[in-house]
Amino acid sequence: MIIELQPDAKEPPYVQIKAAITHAIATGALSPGAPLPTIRQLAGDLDVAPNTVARAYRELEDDGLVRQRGRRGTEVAAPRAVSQVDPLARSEADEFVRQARRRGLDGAAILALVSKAVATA
Amino acid sequence: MLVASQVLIWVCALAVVVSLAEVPPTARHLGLFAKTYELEVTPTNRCLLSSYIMWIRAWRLGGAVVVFVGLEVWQRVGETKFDWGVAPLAVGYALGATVGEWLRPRPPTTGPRKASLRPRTVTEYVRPWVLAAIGVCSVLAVACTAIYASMGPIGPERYSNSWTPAPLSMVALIGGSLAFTVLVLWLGARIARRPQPAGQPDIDAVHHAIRSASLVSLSGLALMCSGLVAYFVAVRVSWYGDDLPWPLRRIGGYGAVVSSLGALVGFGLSFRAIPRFAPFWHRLPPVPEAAA
Repeated sequence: MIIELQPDAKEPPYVQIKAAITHAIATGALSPGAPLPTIRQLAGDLDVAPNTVARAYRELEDDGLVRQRGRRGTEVAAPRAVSQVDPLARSEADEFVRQARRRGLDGAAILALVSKAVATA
Repeated sequence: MLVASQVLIWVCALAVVVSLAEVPPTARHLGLFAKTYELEVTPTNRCLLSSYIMWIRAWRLGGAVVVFVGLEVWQRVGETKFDWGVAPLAVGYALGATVGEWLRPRPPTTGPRKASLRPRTVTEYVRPWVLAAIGVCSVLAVACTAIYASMGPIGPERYSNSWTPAPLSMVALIGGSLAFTVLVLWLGARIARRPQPAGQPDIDAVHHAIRSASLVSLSGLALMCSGLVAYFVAVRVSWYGDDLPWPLRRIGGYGAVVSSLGALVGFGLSFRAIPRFAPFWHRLPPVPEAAA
């Protein structure tokens, strides 16, 4: 799984990193329990400050998408069971997906939209 | 006068080694490296590979010369005598390689800022038994040093020279070896994290191969040093431990065999000039698909 930073994007790098990892989790490219690279490795590869990656990881953790394992690094968290989510939120999500499909969007585009919304909103 | 001539030799030898840094590796050397790490050398990545080989070769040879000749000068100045044979060459080589890897400049990041989400770890490149062997040799060295220290002086020959050093000197030797092992393992984790710039596939592949070579070589050096030091003390426990209880003496005997094997394997790992045996001691994880 590759992530790429767009130099001319409006979002700051940490939002781009967060959106890319959220999308990878949503599409199943990163399965629960999958280890993520260390902050220093990812920061070095992307040529950004370690604080940038740390902030993305921290916000992903706040969203319940990843979890810190102390010295063993960061891994993708197990998803919350859909049955535990508020029924009203579930029906709103279903309605959003139905509307998006009516507009001609496919599953991948819908997931990308949701990933970006999760990362930025 | 003698010291001045020694220093002159030291400077000349160092100058020769440093000038070696400007000699590009031969086609055979590049071919061996490429075969060992299943790398396709292209006109684009050849200069990157050559610069790495020249850099690390200069540091390794420079380290060997500095330590070996420096020790010779020290012996002349201090009028002391060490019977360590070529061991200082090996130590200098290992120290030079470590410093060279530590100071190696970060690869330039050109092109798009891409990264793989796959974590890179030392065990991805080095087989776990190599790391376990380093641990075994280190534990053996500590155990044998404790036994050696408990033996006490036996006869007038004991503690009289570098062949049978005093327990405190032996503890210092083992401490130095352990510190070097810890340093190498820490440096290994740092090398695994070394940036993998995204670019053309052949450039990605050469960075990947160089990382693999660095990690295998460093872990081999750590195994060689810990094995040699463990052998040094285990042999003395075995030879001079006549009064020791049977199990403790056996630790010296078996320890000497195990640690000498470890040192031999470490030597092979650090030079790894036989591609046929390469899969035995190192892994070749897939090249990060950052250029995909």
